[in-house]
Amino acid sequence: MLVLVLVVALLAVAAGAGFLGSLAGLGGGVILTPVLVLFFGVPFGDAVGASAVSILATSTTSGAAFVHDRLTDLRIGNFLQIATVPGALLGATATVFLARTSLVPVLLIALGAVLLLTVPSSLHHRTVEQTPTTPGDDLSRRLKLRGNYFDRFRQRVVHYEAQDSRSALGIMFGAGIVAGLFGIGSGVLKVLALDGAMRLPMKVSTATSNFMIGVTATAGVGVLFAGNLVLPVLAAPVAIGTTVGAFLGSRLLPQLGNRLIRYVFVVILVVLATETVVRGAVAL
Amino acid sequence: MSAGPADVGALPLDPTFPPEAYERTARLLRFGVVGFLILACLGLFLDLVKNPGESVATLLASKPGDTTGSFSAFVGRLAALDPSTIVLVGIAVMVAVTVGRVVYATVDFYRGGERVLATVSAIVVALLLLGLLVVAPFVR
Repeated sequence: MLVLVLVVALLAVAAGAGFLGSLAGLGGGVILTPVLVLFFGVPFGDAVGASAVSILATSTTSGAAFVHDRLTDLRIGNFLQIATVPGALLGATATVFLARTSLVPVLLIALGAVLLLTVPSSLHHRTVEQTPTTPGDDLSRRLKLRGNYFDRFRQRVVHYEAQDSRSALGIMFGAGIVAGLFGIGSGVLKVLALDGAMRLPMKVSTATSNFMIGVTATAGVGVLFAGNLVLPVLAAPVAIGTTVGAFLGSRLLPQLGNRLIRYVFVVILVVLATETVVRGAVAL
Repeated sequence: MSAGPADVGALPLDPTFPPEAYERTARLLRFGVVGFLILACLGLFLDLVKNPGESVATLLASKPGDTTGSFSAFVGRLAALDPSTIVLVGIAVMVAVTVGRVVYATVDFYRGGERVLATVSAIVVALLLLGLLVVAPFVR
């Protein structure tokens, strides 16, 4: 196959993934690594490298909008990065070494399992904002992990204070490892920490998670590049396509209902996860 | 999704992160993504023009991490409009912007008198640099 054909196909597929992922609120990055491996025959390590670059690009794009709207909690985001960054360095280093061994099928099975674990939380999309009323834990109080944002739907300023910040740090370390290993954003794990453990409002946890994904991806990209797993001409169309698709999706989001799209995306996720596990199991 | 300036103006003032800090970070991120997209598109276009018959197998066999070499060799490839090098510079711009936004946060925390969070942010910057300068050469 010629590179020209691959580039055109990757631009289209990545734009579709970014568009659908953005409409479904899941991010398109999660399906890029398996798509590159299963449908384009890209080696696992190179797929992880290309996907990590695209995650970095989309996070930077949407991060600019979220930060501008002051939905991102810079204090909490910066605090939790101390856990995600070492996790991502560890995960990316593991991928570089494992990609050189015969353990790639094991990585494929693990990736499939991570994708399947993403499904339940993808189906359960909270639409009602929680407003925590209890005060934060001692660490949150000491570090002033609290803030406020303007809720346009409720037309008022919402105040919040982070709970259980220690558990959130632990979950974030795991999210960093998964992100580094597979070149995915691990947004589900990050939202689990911000939303589940810290009990932050949904909009703040989504925006802060997105802000952190870029820093986590940066930690991984340098290691993956040095390990020869970032091929620029492969990564460029994937990152351009995903970024453009996600941008268009975010523009159309207010005009479209996203329930059906979310189900379609979840079906794609399940099919890809199953296929990835099967591919890994067969290769063992 | 986007809140208007009046909405954002309704928020209480955070002395550590005033509106200018948010605006500055957003500007930095926009610069990063626009810079990356321009360089990535340029590199991709040049690759398709310079290597019209390149096969996917050749592309996947390339090892850009091995050819980075010295700084002067890198500049030489950039001056020769090497497509992969141009895309790499685009990726480097995004990486630099991401490190830069953590540096901004460190300075803001320090100026706001939040020494613990300033230290935490400084450690994150150090970890990112550790990844780029120590872990990356180690895995090569």
